[in-house]
Amino acid sequence: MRNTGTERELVVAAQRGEQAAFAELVALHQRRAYAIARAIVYVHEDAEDAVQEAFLRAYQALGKFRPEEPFGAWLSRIVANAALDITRRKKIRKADELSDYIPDRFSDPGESEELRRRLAGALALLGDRPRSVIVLHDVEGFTHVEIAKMLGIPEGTARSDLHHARRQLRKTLGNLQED
Amino acid sequence: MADNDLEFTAEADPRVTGALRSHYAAPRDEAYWESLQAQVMARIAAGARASWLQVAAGWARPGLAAAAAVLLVAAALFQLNRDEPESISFAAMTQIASQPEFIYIENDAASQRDETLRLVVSH
Repeated sequence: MRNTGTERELVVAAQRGEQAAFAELVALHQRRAYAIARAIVYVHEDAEDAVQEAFLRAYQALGKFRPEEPFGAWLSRIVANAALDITRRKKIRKADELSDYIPDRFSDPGESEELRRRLAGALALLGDRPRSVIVLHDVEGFTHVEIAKMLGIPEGTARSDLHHARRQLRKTLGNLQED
Repeated sequence: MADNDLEFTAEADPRVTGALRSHYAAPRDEAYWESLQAQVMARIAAGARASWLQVAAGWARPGLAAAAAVLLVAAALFQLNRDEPESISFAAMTQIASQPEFIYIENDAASQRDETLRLVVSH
């Protein structure tokens, strides 16, 4: 596998059908893709599925992509769509089930179990969209414009979701953190 | 973050953000990412195989129709070749049959003429 060449060159090579070039693009973008997917689907396994599905869709649509544009931004929208599709399919999942699931295998081992439990419960109460917005903004550092494009919502909705999500999480976790 | 919340002013709580970061932490093991990349590429390879099969399946129906048409044409040509010797022999037979008849008629006319001449001379 090559390690040289700009992202644009990799994209052009992948468009010519070089799978090794696309594999390199996967290696470059998979962490970011995972972060976006995880913010939207919440569960690690679903995020993994969304990442795989998104890269497959990106590969199939590569012919339509213009190499002069940023590949990362284009891919982010595809990842978000794949993750939103999974969320829609799993809409029947109850808040209780969500709060029961505490994905702690990658989290800080020093963090208290009580905080994890309370956070999971608070995130479950937030609802899918505000939860995605606060994670994409406060954890992953995306702007409101980027979040709005990814989630297909107006920018104002992203701002309002962030505001309410921050307030609700602070309220739910406030008592615990003051202890 | 360059965003400036004009209407929605709730600030991020560093402790909540820290808890969220920990909660949403991605796998740190490099082997995990190599494995994910391999899974993605395997799905792409499988997708390419599937799309090739789809193309092949798409061509199957017109291919079968073309094969059937070729078979029909071949059968028709075969039948034509089988019928041809009979028609030739029939034509040959009719030609041969007509010629002796003509000769016979001609011979018959000549003999009648000879017969008439013999009668006139004898009387």
